[in-house]
Amino acid sequence: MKGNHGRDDTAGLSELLRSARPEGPLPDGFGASVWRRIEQSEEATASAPWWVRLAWMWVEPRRAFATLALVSLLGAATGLVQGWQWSERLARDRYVTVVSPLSPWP
Amino acid sequence: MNTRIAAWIVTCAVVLSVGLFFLTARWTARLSAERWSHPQEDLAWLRREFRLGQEEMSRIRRLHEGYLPVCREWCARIAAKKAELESELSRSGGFTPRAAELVRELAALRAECQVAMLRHFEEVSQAMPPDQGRRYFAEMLRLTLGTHEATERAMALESSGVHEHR
Repeated sequence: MKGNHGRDDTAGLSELLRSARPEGPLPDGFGASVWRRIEQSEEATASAPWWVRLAWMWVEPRRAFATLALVSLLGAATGLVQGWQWSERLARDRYVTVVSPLSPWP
Repeated sequence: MNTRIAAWIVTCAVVLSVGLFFLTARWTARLSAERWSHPQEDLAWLRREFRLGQEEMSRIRRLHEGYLPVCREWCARIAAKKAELESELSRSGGFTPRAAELVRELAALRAECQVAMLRHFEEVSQAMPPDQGRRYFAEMLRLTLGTHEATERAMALESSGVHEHR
């Protein structure tokens, strides 16, 4: 019983889809026109100034996130180098403050 | 793409990237500096900077621990004398002979404190290998007396400049 119901539903859905499909032929040269527009868009991008191409890159989420991740990594690496220098200065200043009651000299 | 929209996208991207770079760099620098500076250890810098071994460090640690109470005592005496001077100045509303005497006493205390500090630096430098000891002593002189000497030098230059004008 259940199997028959399922088969009936599928047949009904197929019928509905067939009836919903737009009828009538596509205009003449529709496919060619679509390809032409795609080519024009690509040509326009290729001949655009560098900053427009850069903007195109940022529109794509995958590239935008990759760039941000790279920037974060570079920032962290710079921070580590700077942190090492700061830590030396912090440790030195701590020692000088402990042993010299006169620093900074009043 | 419309050039105006492209310009906006590039501007936002550059601002975002630069901001993110500096934010990450600063945050990482602060975290790593705090971690690597060993806040609990006063002598961590000495050990690293002058490449000291275990034996030298234990000698220096003993000297350091012996010097700290002396240093604290000088600090307390100088602070008490300064408080006395400030009190005298505010009480009298002018520069009295007593205030002048207190200034001299304060200067004498500072001089004695400086002598004790330099003696300690010398002892510590002698506990190090000769080259490192010399470097330590020079560095400590620069760090503790350098700023004072720079001020004096600037004053001397200024006064010589005035004489030249005359």
